[in-house]
Amino acid sequence: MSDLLEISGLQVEVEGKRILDGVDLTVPTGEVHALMGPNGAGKTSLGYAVMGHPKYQVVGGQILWKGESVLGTPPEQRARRGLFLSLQYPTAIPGVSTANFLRSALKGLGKELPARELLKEVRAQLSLLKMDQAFLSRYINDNFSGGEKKRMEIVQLAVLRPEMAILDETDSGLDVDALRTVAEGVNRVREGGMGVLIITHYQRILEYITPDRVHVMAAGRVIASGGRELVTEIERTGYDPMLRAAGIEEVLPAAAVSG
Amino acid sequence: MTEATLGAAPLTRESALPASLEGGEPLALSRLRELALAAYREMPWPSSTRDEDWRRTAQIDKLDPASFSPSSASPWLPELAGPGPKSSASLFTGAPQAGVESPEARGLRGALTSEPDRWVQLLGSVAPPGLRKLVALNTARFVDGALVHVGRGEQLELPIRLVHGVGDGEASFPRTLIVLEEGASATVLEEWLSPPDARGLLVPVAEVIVGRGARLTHLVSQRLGERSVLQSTLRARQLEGSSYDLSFVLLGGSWSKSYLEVEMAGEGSEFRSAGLCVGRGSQHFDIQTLQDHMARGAVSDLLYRAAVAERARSVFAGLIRVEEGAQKTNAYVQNRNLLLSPTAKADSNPTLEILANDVRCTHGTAAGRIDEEQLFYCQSRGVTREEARRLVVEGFFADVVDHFPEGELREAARGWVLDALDELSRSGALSASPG
Repeated sequence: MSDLLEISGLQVEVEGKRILDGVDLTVPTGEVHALMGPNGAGKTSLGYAVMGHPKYQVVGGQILWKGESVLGTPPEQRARRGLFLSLQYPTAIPGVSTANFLRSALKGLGKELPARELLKEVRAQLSLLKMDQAFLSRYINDNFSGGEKKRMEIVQLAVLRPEMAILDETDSGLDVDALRTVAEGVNRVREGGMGVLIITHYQRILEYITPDRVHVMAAGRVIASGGRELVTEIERTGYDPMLRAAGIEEVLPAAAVSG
Repeated sequence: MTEATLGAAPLTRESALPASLEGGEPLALSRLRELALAAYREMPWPSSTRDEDWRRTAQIDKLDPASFSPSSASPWLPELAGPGPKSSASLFTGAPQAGVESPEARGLRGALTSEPDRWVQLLGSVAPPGLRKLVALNTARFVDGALVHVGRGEQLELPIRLVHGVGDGEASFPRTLIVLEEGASATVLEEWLSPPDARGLLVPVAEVIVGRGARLTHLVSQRLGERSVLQSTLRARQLEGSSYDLSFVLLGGSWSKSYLEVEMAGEGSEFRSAGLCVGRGSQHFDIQTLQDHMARGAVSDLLYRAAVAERARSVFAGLIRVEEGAQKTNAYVQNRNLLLSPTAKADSNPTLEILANDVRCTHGTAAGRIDEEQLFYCQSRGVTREEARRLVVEGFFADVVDHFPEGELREAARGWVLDALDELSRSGALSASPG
């Protein structure tokens, strides 16, 4: 299989501070990869850097998407080329309804739908994610609970249908039922061949969305990669043995950025 | 011939009377104009250094009404205004032949001439000439305007449309009198316009009386050309149990000062207001509001949102005054500003002046920039940065737009706002700078 996302030697700084220090990570087309690691390892930063958040300055290395560099392109262009980042803490935009937000997004992606079809699609996804239809006209993420925000990210994922989704702790703060609902939502979109990089602290979501590969990050780089068995290992022994093996005495302080 | 100073230029007593009415005005009106002229002479020209009202709008120091020629006809106004929403009457000040009168809405000049005893006494009863210099000037110099009179218990379904404008090099002083008798209900759209390149001075004064238990819905739209100046006064008096709903949209002009004042004169009256402003270039919007609680148990709520780009500036001063005896008052004033460039500026000064002890009054103010995280969020979903900024600005205005009168008026007003945002995009004001 061809390599969809190929990150090599990635170095990223935030306000002059080194956050990522040589990340190597490849996600081939259609595969599901899990990204784990202690707090402050740089997982969230990696997601932001891939999506092009202006605060995350790439100072070295490369991010290739379908063989082409995305460096220097704005986030909306990366989205148009098929990337999607589900945020750990989705941003509220008061005054902008979910329907209006998704209309603008689809327009930007060049996937504009007639108003009626758009509404039908969003309604359908809302019910699949077990969300009230009222969310259609509610302001996006405004006064949503943590769980509602996570579900809304998956509603958007389903409507926007990217080729690859980076899910940043989409499972955190969800109860068992909500977790299953969200995981099923991701799996439905995966049927179209979408690749997934799932950032998580917990084994639980990986029981629903089975990873092909598992990577462990610490101190701003990937220190271990392997199959599913890595997850069980982490559950059993924690990160310490891996950190010691990688020669990392102490996890980098969480700095200004989490993950 | 007696002379007074009008700005730097002479204003003669005779020229205070519009030529077309000279000699033909009802006596009561002539007397009112004399009073206005006297008041005008007594009051000094406003000053940004002496007057608190003008502290942040120094443009007043250099304004000279005498550098404009008085206008009495605006034949171009209907075309500039466009068709507008479906209405029961439409009046164009300075172009009466283009309008459609109704029993409830007619030209002010005609009404004053044919029934002076009835209407002249109401002129200046809410906004007396002595209120401020420019109200005196309007009273001395208005040629025409609109009278809206809705009789007792009468319910008007369709809105009444009033359009005032000023042309290039002209000064215009339109006058509006809106009277709702007991239990009446009506909707009025009032527009202030000038052609895109016209350098004019518009000084409208609107007086509003909302009778006992009457309900008035009022939408004011200021869409002057970029080189015109506005000095407006809108003052309302609410009687017992009345309800007044005021929406306002301020989009045009090179600089403007708008007074919006409401007297809660009757017990249990209710005033709800929401307005917005979109500024760019070097536009300057100064708005000063007053919620004057004179009677018990009245409710007033005013929300004003301004988004300013480039070097534009918004100035807001909002006063809630609760007079002695106005117990159980419930009043709120709020101003939110969105700065779209590092050089845009917003001053906000909501204040309370409370002389009663059993009241609930609050005010709020905030100024901010577009949040970078909001932009990133939109962009990460495929929305361009410029579109994202526009989306956030639209969202910023959502609660004001929701307040606009339902139906065609809301669609029209929303259209004006979206046009202004398009204009922002076209001029690059939305993509120019970060933050």
